[in-house]
Amino acid sequence: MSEYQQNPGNHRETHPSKSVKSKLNGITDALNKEFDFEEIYIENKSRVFSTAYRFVGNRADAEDITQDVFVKVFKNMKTFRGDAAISTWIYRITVNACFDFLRKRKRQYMSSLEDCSEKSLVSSPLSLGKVIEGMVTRLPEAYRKVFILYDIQGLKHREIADILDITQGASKSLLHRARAKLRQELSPYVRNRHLG
Amino acid sequence: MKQCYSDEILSAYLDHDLEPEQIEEIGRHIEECSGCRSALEQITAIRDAASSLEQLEPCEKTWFEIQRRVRKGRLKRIWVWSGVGAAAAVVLVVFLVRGRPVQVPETTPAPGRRQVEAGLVQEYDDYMRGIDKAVEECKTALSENPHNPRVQRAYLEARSSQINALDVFTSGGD
Ligand SMILES: [Zn+2]
Repeated sequence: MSEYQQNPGNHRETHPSKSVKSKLNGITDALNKEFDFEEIYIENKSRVFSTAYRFVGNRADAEDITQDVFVKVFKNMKTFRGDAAISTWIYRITVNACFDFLRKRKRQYMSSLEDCSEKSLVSSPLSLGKVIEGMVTRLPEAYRKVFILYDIQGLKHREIADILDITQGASKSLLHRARAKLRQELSPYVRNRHLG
Repeated sequence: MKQCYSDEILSAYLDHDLEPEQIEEIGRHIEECSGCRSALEQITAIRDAASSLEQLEPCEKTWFEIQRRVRKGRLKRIWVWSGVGAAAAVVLVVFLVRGRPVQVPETTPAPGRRQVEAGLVQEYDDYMRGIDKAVEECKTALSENPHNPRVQRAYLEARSSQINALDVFTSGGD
């Protein structure tokens, strides 16, 4: 009589091979996971970094956020269901990571523009793009998210609605308010310069 | 002349986010009103400047740091696995040679007492051959690109897969 037969209580599974098979498949998955991850990184790194940079206004913090985002992506690759584009999923993680980061720091982020008074802006050689880049970091949270994703990152309102869990109408409305706010903030600059 | 439009409306006009009649109406107003025309020009400039901001790349060290953080957790697991795997290897060898489950004191996990279904050994061998092949391929790649981190990683992964597979087999998938 085999030991197994003597101790049937030890046998917790009716089909051990099935379980072994699934575990072995798990190992193959793990082997492939890192390669998939590198591809995901290559494909999405500039999206993540650019978005983070526009949120916080400096490279060092944007690098930190980029790290946090991809570590989270790696840990949660299994749970990604594939019912949305992976970039949408990563954008969502990025936006959340940016605000977690800012909340943790609990200080107002000002980019290089912080040192520039509005007076100096007028005579500054900065391009309008650079000025906007700095102003964006001062926009209210909800405006900032949509402005960065729509006007800078070039996403569609449909995608932004998915990422931020809002309606497309809300996304549009926040965008128009963000632009209005920016024009108001930028008026000393744009009044004294040729646009563009 | 009709009342002037808010920046929000002008921004929506710019994106054609309005009803056709509204778009037409605002278009007519803008032709006559320099204030709204100028506001629209500024909003357009803001939009265009924003969309022309370039995409930025993180520096290379960011990727290395991500790998370090990701692998920190994994290496810990491999370390544990290799301890378990060594014990499991003994069990497996005895198990296969004697053709029936044996009990190795202390280190033997309960699975040593298991029944092995017909075909499981074959399945395992096939799987291990696959991993062995991967190891060999990685070794070749490593001899050609000894400093390539991706190749180095692949080699380590393939090796740790051997250990993991061994453990899975001897533990019966628990
Ligand atoms: Zn007007």
